[in-house]
Amino acid sequence: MMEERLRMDVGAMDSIAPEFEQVRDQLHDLGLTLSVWDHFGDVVEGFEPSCHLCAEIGGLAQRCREEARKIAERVVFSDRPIKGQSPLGGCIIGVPVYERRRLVAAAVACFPVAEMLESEQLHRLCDSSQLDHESIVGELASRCRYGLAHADRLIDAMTKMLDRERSLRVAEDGVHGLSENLASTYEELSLVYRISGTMKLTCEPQVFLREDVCGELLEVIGVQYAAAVVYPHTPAQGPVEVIAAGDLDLKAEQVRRLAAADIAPQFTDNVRSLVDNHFAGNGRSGSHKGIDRLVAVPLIGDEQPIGILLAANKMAGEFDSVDVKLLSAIGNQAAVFLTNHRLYADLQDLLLGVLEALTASIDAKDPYTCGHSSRVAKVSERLAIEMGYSPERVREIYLAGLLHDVGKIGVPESALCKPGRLTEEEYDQIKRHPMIAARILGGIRQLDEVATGILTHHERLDGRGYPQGLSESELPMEGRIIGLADSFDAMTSDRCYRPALPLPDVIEEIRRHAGTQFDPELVEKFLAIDLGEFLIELRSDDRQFRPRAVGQERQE
Amino acid sequence: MATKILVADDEAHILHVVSMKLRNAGHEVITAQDGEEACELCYAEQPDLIITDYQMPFMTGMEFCAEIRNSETCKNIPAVMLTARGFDLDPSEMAEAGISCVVEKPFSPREILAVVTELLKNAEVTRQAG
Repeated sequence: MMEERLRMDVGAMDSIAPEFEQVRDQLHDLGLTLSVWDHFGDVVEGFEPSCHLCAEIGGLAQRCREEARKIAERVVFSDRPIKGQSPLGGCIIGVPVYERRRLVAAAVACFPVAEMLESEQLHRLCDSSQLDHESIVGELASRCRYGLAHADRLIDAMTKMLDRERSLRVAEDGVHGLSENLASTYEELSLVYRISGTMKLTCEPQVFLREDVCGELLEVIGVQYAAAVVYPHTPAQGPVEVIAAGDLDLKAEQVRRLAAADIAPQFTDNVRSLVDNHFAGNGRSGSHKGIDRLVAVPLIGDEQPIGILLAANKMAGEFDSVDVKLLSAIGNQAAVFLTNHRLYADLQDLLLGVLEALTASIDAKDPYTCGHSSRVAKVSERLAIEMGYSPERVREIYLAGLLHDVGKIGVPESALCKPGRLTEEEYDQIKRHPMIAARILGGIRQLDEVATGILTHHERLDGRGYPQGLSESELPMEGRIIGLADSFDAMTSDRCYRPALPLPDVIEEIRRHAGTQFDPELVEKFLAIDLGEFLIELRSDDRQFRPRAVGQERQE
Repeated sequence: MATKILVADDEAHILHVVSMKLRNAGHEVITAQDGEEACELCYAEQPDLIITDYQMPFMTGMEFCAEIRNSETCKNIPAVMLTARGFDLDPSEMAEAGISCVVEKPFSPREILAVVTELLKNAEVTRQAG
């Protein structure tokens, strides 16, 4: 208890020392010298008595100090101002100093007074020290600005000075606290704003969670580690994902276990946060070494838990409700983002699924074209990637590849599946399929770009393609890519009128038509791919009715 | 009749913000910066409502509230606790100290005012019924 009190007082003394400096300077201007004493009767470092008069004239520094100490003791004992006399007959005053309403020190000041010039003490001192009384008086007289009668007013002044300095400091501390609080509130607010700003559906959830959520939490709450644990959308989508930032050496598996065993079970419909400032000591299995303090919130999407957001080891002490509220706010935003992203992905999957089913049903009309559309889509996609296009454009080219033959729905089967040579009229019917596709898709705003690729996939660089006979400069890359992919798949597949060509022949054929039928840059990029391997890959993903081992069959 | 509210918090900025909001709403506000001062003020001023921080020098908000419940004149004053550590509070201890409501930091000044208005209304109803 005593020790605790002592510690508190030492701390208090540190914080009020600057006040004493101010008061010392002000008192000095008034001709008073200040000393400060703690309530154990020890002089406070830096505020020793320095009464020049006693020291210079009488070599009485020690006695002067002793008198000041006695006054300080009496002040502390009685908790009120005290007056006394210095060895030379000057005046000593002492007043109590408070910190948070506790008496923590005594401020003592001494000053020469007119009365001392004729005092007994001075006469006696001069006699015993063989000093000339008259010359001493002459020296002192100029410094005596006060009489004993002024003591009370000076006590009053000194008390007011101490009070004023203290209220000044308290006000400054208040402003400082308010500013710090405001600053951290601004940080939190701006984080919430920033996160809402970066929540774009096209942004990958991993990037968003790592950089915009966890990375920012490290800075704003000031933690050593932050992580988002995301449950898979469907069980088929693999394990729980862990996205983390910070410098705690935790493996994804450890975080998964931590989330599953120690965090998730604590959440209920009413408990939407976990704060544990003694996490390390709470009998853990030891698998989460390094986590001493932990705060976590569930990510709730569509009333279902979809993950956990956690932060560990706050740099500035323990987690409190301020951190919890911030983490919850960020967690809610992250959950909204994840949920929207999943809905968006679901829609994309649905669209793709429907389109795949549509094209597969067209392909199914002719047993020789099974899986053709989906392979053309994959080859086109690969070409678009090789060309370095944006993910958005790659996706559109994939869709165009998938839908490129959708117009065949308007072409009579008699022409489409005819094994022998086509009549001119039949060939004309087939040549209409890009136009038909463009008309079918023309009403779908989102597929405008896709329709362009489909319309032009039978055009040629030399202008001899159909349906429009476009020239090289008019032929968009989309059409060139799908045209090449379409020819490649046609040549590597059996047709009703011929078997599949061996790969070397296909390559030769493509190379031969570079510059006339095919775009030479595309051909160059395409032939740089290991096509044997690519073909196997294409045929193995074939979700088709007639699975077959490609490649080998070709060799026979 | 103006109501008198005692606000106790050792953090000057919270004291400022809460007092300002309450004064603007027409309440008389007295402030204390530690538990002991809050106790003394409470006995001397008999406020209608107490808003106190948990963590304060000399005496926690909980100790302060428990202490004044020993006094006949102060035992029914409704009390609100402000804290950043709501999750650490012991409900039975709170009941004993007569804490009617806990407001977790960070709070909005409007939230405090709403809590105060509600508690004062309840206290008024109780008084009239009694």
